[in-house]
Amino acid sequence: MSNTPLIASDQPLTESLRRTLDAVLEIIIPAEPARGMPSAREVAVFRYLQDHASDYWRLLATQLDELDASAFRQFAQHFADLSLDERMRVAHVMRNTNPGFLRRLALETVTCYYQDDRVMVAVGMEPRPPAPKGQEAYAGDFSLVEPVIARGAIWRRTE
Amino acid sequence: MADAQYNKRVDVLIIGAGASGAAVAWSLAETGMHILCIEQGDWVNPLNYPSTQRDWEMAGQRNYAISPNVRKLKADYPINDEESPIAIANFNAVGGSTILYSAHFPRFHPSDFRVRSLDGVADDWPISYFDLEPFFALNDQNIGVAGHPGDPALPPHTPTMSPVPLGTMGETMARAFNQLGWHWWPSDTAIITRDHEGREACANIGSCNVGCPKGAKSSADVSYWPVALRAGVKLRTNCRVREITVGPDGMATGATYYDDLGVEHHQAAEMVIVACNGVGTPRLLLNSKSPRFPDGIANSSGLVGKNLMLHPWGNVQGLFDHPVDRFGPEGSCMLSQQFYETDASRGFVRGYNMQITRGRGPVLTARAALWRGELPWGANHHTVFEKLYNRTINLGICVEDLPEECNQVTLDPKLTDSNGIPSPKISYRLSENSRRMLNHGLARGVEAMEAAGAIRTDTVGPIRMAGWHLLGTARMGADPRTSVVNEWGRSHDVKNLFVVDGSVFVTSGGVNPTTTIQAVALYIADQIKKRLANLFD
Repeated sequence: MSNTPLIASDQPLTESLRRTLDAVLEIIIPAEPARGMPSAREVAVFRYLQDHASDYWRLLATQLDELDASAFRQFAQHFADLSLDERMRVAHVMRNTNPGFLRRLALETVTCYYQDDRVMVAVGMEPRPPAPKGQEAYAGDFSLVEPVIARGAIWRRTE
Repeated sequence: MADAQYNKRVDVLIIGAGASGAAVAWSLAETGMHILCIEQGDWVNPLNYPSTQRDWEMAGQRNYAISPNVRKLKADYPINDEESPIAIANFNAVGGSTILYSAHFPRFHPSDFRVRSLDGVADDWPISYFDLEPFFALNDQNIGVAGHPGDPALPPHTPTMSPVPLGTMGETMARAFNQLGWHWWPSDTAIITRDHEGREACANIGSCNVGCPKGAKSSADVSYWPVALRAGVKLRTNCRVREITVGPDGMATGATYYDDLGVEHHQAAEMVIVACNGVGTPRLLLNSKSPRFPDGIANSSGLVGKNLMLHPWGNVQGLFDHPVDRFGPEGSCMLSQQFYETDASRGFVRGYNMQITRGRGPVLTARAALWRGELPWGANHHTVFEKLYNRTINLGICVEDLPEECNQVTLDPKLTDSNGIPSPKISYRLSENSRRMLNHGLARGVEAMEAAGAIRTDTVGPIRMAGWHLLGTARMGADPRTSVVNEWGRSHDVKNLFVVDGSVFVTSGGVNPTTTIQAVALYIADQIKKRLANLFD
């Protein structure tokens, strides 16, 4: 079990907490090779948190510690050493007890995940910002207005 | 530069460089008068718009958020909207809130100007749709408006270019409306679909509501301002007006403002035109107190700030079991005005517009689903995401808001902006008529989505973060006791003071108001030009 305090360096999480974080990311979004989807562990969530969620480190560290402690109680192993199923069971208990548990991590994770090149391609997008290229758009069938025209004017006369 | 030279007296001082200020500046430029516009915001660099960045979906939630209380940029002033179920949206820059608008550009209907005569509620406008018709057309021509001619919900008019794409999303909803026998139409849209006046056609970047980096969306900064500046109008940015000043004769003498460094200046002018829209304009007028006008300038009627109308907004989201395309302008491909005109059997007077909008990108889809507890952790994550992403269509309901004096903008006794100028406070509640109309619209929206084949519908309304349309707080009318400006925008009290924005609206209509705001601004500018010889009599 990791009770290592935050270290006073530019690393916001200790090595053991990083291992726990990676193990959580893998159960938030597991890989699915058939769809071309990596796991959240494989995308740059840690870097994203550094850039966008610096106010979150202390709470995250506390919750990762709680998760590891819970794993030890249930399986006598570190969270990071459990199988995917076992990790899901541990996380499920924690989230059932406290619905807000690691909720922000999940939000930041999906935010980072769906900007990853591999993920964007897998969901049918090009891995780039929308501008300047834009998109080819299907114009659609404007003859569908014909029944509307056939019913005649519907605006209210005022004169 | 010496202050006296910098602030040399001008013929026309326009306060606010948004939709209406830009249109008025353009129109008056041909007079050859010395025209200066003062704007509290800056030019927006299109290269900084969120859609130029990889995290465009989240970037749009920060510096381009619709609430000034969220953005908190230097150009913004805080707004106390705690006493309102609808929060105020705006943007402070050259182009104003058109920087963030969806460019959905439906006109008011003729009946919107005659609600007292037709339905016995509120008041008639002192002008009609047909008075404005040439100015709607002029505005369309100036900025470039796409659309499909022949809409039977309006008197005939012809948009200047072909409509934006319907896509499979639009076709899906069109077939549903046809099945129900309801009106629908490809929207008039202030987005150019062919090159226009040096601007390139829309490339379907799609994130119109956080700024168009291509300049295809006809926001005022790229449509009116370049032309007005070439014609000689001067524009001074990052300058916030504190008050309009008056002389011993009761005429406006100009405005006191703070520049970018917080230095106070006075700009003298022969006439002052206020174009700060339905919250900014009453704030400025109420802050312009003097011994002659202790309750604020132009306020002998006591109506400055009153009759605020916000368009309560609802949304119906339909979820489909097949992909619907996401690409195309996000908020403006089609509308339905089946329930726009009054039908007493519905239990309310007046009506509403239905606006079809596209679903969200992958990041916001995932975040929203996670927040709702719908997107799971674990192996099922991808399957659930696939069933949500690119499978939603939204139907917005824009409810006509009738004027009520209790809905108002006042000055907050404590809150100020960074220059110490008192901030606006919003006191607003939905009327029973609005609530019934909104509920009717949500039910019809569900009906439309089900006809389209949606497997699930979710409704919400009134939406708090939807106070885009700010109207009615300096209303026009012939009677000085019941209106702030006359039928051509001149203050009843101060004969060289004009208001040209959405605050002069007598009623709100049931549609996005920007095309009507700009038509009114062009109409007032035209009246000014016709009356130059005796404008202040």
